[in-house]
Amino acid sequence: MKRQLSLASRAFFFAFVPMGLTLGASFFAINKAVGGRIKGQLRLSLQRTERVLASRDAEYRQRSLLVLSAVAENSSLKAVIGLLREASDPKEQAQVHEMLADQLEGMNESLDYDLLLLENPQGKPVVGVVGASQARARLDSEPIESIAPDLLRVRGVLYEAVPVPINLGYENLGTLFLGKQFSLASWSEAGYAALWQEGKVILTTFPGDRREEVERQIQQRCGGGSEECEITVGGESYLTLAIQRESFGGRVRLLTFQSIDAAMSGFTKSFEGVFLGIGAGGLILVLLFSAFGARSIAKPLTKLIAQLQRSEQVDRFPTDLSTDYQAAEVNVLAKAFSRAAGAVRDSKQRLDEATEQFIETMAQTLDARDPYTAGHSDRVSANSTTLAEALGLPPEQVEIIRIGGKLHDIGKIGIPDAVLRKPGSLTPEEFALIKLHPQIGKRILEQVERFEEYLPIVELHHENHDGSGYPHGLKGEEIPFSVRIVHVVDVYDAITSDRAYRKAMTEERVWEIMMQGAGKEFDPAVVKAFLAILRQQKVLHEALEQVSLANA
Amino acid sequence: MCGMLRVFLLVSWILYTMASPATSFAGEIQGRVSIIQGLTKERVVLPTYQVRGMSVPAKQEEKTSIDEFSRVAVYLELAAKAPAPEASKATLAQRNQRFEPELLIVPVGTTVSFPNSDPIFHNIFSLSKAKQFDLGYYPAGETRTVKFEKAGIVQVYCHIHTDMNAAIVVAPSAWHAQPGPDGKFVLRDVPGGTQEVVVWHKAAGFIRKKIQVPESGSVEVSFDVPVLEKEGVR
Repeated sequence: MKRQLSLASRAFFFAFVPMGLTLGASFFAINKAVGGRIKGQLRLSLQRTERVLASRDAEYRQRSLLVLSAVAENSSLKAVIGLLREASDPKEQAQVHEMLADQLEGMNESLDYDLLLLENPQGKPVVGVVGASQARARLDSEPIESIAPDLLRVRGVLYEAVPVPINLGYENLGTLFLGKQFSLASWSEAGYAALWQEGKVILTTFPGDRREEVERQIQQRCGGGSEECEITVGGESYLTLAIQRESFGGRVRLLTFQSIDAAMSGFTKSFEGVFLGIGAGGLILVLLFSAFGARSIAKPLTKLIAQLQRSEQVDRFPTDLSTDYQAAEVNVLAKAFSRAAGAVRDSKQRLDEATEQFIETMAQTLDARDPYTAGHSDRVSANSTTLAEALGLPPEQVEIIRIGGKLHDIGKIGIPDAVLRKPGSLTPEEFALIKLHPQIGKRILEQVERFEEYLPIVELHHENHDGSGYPHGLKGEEIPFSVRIVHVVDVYDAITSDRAYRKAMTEERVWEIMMQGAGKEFDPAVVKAFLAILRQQKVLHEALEQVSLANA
Repeated sequence: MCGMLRVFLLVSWILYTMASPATSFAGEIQGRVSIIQGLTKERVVLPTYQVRGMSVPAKQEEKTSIDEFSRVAVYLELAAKAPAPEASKATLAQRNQRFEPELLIVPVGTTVSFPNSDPIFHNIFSLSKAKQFDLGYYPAGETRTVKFEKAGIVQVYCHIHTDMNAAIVVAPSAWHAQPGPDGKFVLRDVPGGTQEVVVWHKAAGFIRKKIQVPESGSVEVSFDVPVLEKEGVR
């Protein structure tokens, strides 16, 4: 059988689930929306910061250039560079180079740059000094790789240089590059940074094993490093910004990576705390309301059902249901049910009455045919009922016995008058005919379904306790108790009334027969009880007679 | 053919050395200097410092007005003993924060005076091997003198004004010249025989050529001087 949900569960389900879902969905949506907004704000603030940094950087470079240009306006330096024009052989040139290097180092004492490189106007390096102040070294013929206009790589180290032109009048004597070792540190304070050149990361603060991943992500998502974008490295998302930096020209870009997750985590934490609180509170509230609501909806019905169940236990159609359920519909339902139950009860009563009358009619039909037995059925019925009640049978059983008693001889309808109304003794053949009446009665009543429960009384009321009766010769416990009762009462009535073939017996004779029948014809217990009743009735009768005599 | 030439040369040299220097045979060198420009045009078009917007504004007009030939010095590197040049005098003035002239050619032994014609101080110095000196600060109207006793190039600067620059070519003899506006120069009364003609330009450096100077008559020689639009070191 399919499991049925109770009304309360159903009400709870339909109240709680949609509300819970709505609450959850709105929580999720708000979370998403706020998250997106925070991300947007974060992005804006990051962009602003980057712009400020970049412009400050550009300003710093511009100022450096001004200062360094002033420094480079140095007659001695120019004079030494000019010596190269007089040098007619390599030896002399080497000497001049040495002088230049000394000159540059002297200049650098106050400037403290990591790379000093003098290029001739053709862009060829003339002389260079590299290294921090402690370990300076002359650059010889090492290649100087120009990554970007002002980004040089010497001995595998990147230098960001300020190019200072050295002019003598309108003539250009060369360019002095003053370089600091390029570091991404200042760009990666709040995240990571990388130098990007034509599809490759050439320098990054990301750990070495992440470099390829970063490279791939930038190629895929950032339009080859030129656009602002989001990348995910090691499960963390970063906002990537390309910094505008003049000194890098168009080919090299400085990318900074700010962790969105890290920036958001603080905010999200507090925000989620509040929201989870509200969400959980709301959910609990919804739960309580749903539960209470479901109970309140189901309660009147539950009450009604309980009342009906109580009525069922006492086997009674409730026609007087209470109409105070605090729910108009249920009250109406209860009223309607009471009305319907009343109607059903009435019709059942009418049917019962009709049945009663029918049975009465049948019994009277029989009485009409056999004047000797007139009133027999009524008496058997009445006495059997009394006996059954005295024996403590349940009311239904008593009722069956009452009606069964009225119908028990109905089969005699099928016995010819000649036999039935014959005064005097019956021949064995006639008696055999008479003995057919229980079965005839059974066949008649079989046709009516309602009479089924009376059939044993009709069919078996001539069976004896010792098995000497008819039609089947059943004995003892094989005979239903109700039948045994009717049997005793039937015999008693037969011997106390006149018959076509004999007169009624004396009282003594009747008692004697009844006493003797115990254990033979009758169930001893039933006979005993019946005789006790008769004795009581007799005592009562005599007392009443004396009272009436005295009254008379 | 080559051997014949050598014998002829030897004979000429013997004849030349036998002849008295005082009554020397003298030839004439007629020279021509061509300025070849634009060796590194690419670099010139986009010098780094111009991108920065920091460069001294290129003095385009001034540059075009300059006569490149006036910046070329020609002199003879004496192969043989030559008459000592007479002690002479020359002047390299300072006017409008420039040297005037910017190229001075003098024979060895010349005393050059450096008068200050500006109303401000100058401090003339040179680091050149041929003559190192530092004249110190001196005001308007004053002058200092330097005697150049060694041949060579002497580049002169001012400590105060870093754009001031001049070159003094101290020639070993009186045979020196500056090409005219047409690039032509003439060295007269040059002793016959093998002579080395030297052309010097600030940017192009030294260009040397050995020629055979006849006892009489003239010989022609020409020089290609590669000058960059932007001159620089070397």
